[in-house]
Amino acid sequence: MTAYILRRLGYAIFVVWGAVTIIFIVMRFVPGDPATALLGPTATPDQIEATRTRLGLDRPLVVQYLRYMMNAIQLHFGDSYRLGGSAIGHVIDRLPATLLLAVSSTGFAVLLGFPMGVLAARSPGKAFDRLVSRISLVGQALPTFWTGIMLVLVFARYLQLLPSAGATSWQHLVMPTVALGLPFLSIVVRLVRSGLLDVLNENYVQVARSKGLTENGVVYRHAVRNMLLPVVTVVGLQLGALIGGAVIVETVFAWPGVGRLLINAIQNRDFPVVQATTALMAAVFVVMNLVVDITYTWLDPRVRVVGDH
Amino acid sequence: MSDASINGQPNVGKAVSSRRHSRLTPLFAAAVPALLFVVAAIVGPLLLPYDAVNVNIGDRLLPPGSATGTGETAWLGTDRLGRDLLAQIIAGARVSLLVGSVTVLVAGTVGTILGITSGYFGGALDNVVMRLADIQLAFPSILLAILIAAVIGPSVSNVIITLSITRWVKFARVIRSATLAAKERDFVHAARALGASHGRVLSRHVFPFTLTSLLVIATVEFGLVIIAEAGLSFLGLGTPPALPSWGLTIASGRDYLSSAWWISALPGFALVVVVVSVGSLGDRLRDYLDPHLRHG
Repeated sequence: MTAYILRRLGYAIFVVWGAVTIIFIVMRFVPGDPATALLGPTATPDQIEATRTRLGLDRPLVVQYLRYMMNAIQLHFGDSYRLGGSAIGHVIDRLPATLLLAVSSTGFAVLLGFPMGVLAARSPGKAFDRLVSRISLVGQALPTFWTGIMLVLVFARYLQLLPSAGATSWQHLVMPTVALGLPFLSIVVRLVRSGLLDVLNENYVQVARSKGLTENGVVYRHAVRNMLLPVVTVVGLQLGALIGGAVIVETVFAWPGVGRLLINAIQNRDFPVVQATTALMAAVFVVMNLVVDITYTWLDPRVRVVGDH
Repeated sequence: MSDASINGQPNVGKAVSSRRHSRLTPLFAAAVPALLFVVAAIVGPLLLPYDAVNVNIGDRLLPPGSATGTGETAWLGTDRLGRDLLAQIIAGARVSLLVGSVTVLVAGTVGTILGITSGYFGGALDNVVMRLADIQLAFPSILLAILIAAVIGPSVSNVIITLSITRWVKFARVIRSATLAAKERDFVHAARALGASHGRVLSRHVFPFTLTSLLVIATVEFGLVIIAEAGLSFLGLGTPPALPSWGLTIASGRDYLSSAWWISALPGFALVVVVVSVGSLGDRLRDYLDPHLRHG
């Protein structure tokens, strides 16, 4: 088990290294160079030259890369051009708001999607099942930013029930949660439904039925327990993906998270913040995948045995 | 079989009662809305040209069905500069469908070639490709697209480049696992034993085996790509402002939600219709090509 975790941890570090390297490569394609971007269009050639030397841009690419990696290991991505102070500091300040949004969307999707999937699977092909299938097909096609705007249109503009932007009360969390959570809800419904349908055909379920257990007993004591694992895995992996999706939703609702910070930084060409944001989001995503992976191993003894050898 | 679109074509499947034919009907039914948009995108601009520069302040923010100053009808209303929204949505369909199909083609080709060769040959190539895929998957999908698009700037070809870079991974992974399954089949061993070259085995035996997976994943990815394109354009990182796309139009209507809801609502509705249509085409394609997977 320990060897397995160490191996997974080593691989996660490799993946984060790769992601940070990709960010370095992409940033080389910024038109002009960081010195020009930092100083703005009014800078004289002498000033640009001096800044290039200060930032190390006159050194060979390999030296620049090594310097960048050394800094990245210490979570140093430079100072924000626009906001002042360390770029990573701004990102860490904004991270809790994004995590809150991701967690509440996950809660919304699971608490609503799980019972819907179970009910649909208990009467496959019936009206409720067909309705749920249609809803989940549409739900997966919803672009979160458009859903968000439509929610604002109905619940903020016309009904005036909820605030359209900001983050000062729990009411502010409702619409971003729904907008971000709806596609995820559809995934959960589909997953639970098909997982349960598969399990209900298994022999041990037939045995439970033939023992005379009630259908509720069969479904909740035997079937649901055994389809839980894949669902938990996907939910965990989706939590990471939601952090990516939050970027756009935060822009719609002026939610003060990492995503809005990133979009503002892009508009201001504040590249240290752009680098710090994407690097940290990738790292958080990888860590979440790692946690899901290890939890899965811990929950499923079969994987544990294989992992030890 | 309660689809309205199926009821609309009572003759299909009646004359030819072969099972194959009747099983194809749901495929066509699912594709109809998307095909309508394809037709609209091709011939629409000829009938109803959209001119981004043709501003008419007198006609601004007209609700759907209003008459414009020139006596024409704005069936879906007008935007903040008096431009016809229907023409704008049709022009946007062009962008979405173009970006969607070219990206799926590029990402699909690159992903298939890398997936099939790394699955078949294994070894160092497989290692490099799959490690690269893992690293790319360290980014939540839209995040890498935002990063690249922010650096290379807004244009249609840049959106295609950006989304192709972020989307090849899915194709490569799916095709690789299909290739691994094909590799162990007797027909592949037989072809090799009969002296067929690796190139021939790959193109004539392994590739056809992966085709089902490829078609299904292509429909799924098409929907994801046009949603991603709209998202990038919504953020101002996709298509340039002069070229109307659904994402841009939705963004431009945000300031007029109270007075002109249709500007934001209708292009998004068009987007959802296309994605649902392609998505259900994918579902039914999977059922059609692989009946074992059918549920309830």
